[in-house]
Amino acid sequence: MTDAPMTVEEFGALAAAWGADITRWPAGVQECAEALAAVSPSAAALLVDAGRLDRAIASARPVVAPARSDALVGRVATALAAETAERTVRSRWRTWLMPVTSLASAAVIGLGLGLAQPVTPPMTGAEYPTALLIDGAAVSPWVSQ
Amino acid sequence: MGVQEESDEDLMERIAGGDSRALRVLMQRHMPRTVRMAEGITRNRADADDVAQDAFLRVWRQAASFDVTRGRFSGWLGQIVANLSIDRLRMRRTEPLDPDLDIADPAPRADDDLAAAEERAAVDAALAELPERQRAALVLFHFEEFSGREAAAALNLGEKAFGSLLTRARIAIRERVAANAATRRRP
Repeated sequence: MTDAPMTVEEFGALAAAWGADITRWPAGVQECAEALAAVSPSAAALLVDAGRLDRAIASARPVVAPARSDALVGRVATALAAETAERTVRSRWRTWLMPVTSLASAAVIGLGLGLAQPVTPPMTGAEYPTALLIDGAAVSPWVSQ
Repeated sequence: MGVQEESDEDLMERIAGGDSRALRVLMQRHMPRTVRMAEGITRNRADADDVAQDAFLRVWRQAASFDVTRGRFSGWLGQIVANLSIDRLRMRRTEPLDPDLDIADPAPRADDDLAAAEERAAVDAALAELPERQRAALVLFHFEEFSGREAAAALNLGEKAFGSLLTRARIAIRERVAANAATRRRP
């Protein structure tokens, strides 16, 4: 903020934005505005006008009955209790079911892998000596002899 | 000192540790303004109730992310409510209009005289026509009396940008109220 005094136009723009209560205007302009309002009838008139609008706006403020507010407090408490209960049940299920499902999954995967292994067909008599020469490991427990 | 007397920020610390009793105290303290804020922005009672509920569920779940060095709890809550309300309005725009929509009731209050009731109806109508962020700016600054800086932060804006948003909103309301007053003066 400069030290130059505030003009009535600047004052009017601020009153149009922030209303009649100078203490609610941005901190940097309050001092100059107070000084102008004290000496300028035009500035004072702008404040009166802004105050009228402030009151008109405030008149439309909704009224909330205490019963409605209390009911909403209850509604949130109920929603939270339901959420907590659901989380507890889910966590219990997780505690018991996790090991069981892990074991079952491991069994299914093991069985699946076992069944998916290709079974090498038995070698014919002609193939066997050749295989022995190429790879000693041809004698495999997987090959039905 | 009992839980009831603790500051919002101390209660948030308890809530982050899983203390649901602290959440209840915080809700009792802030639910009225939370609903009012949500209703001011959404202009719909049922939406406001849902927003208020979602806001406190979010407070519970995200309590650990509340940083007291970045501002008061009420500012953080205001940001949550403004975001949820604006999201809900945007979602609503993509849905077909519900004929049973529960619009906030602009009916005159017992203490209204006729002129005041008409003015309030004009402001209500103007508020309903505002773009949602302008309406949120008015709600935070005028209904909830957030400071300019807090309201700007709640809408993820700088103070200057917030001032422009607020000016546009106030001009729209002023024009509507003036038009209403001119109609009233006509014989």
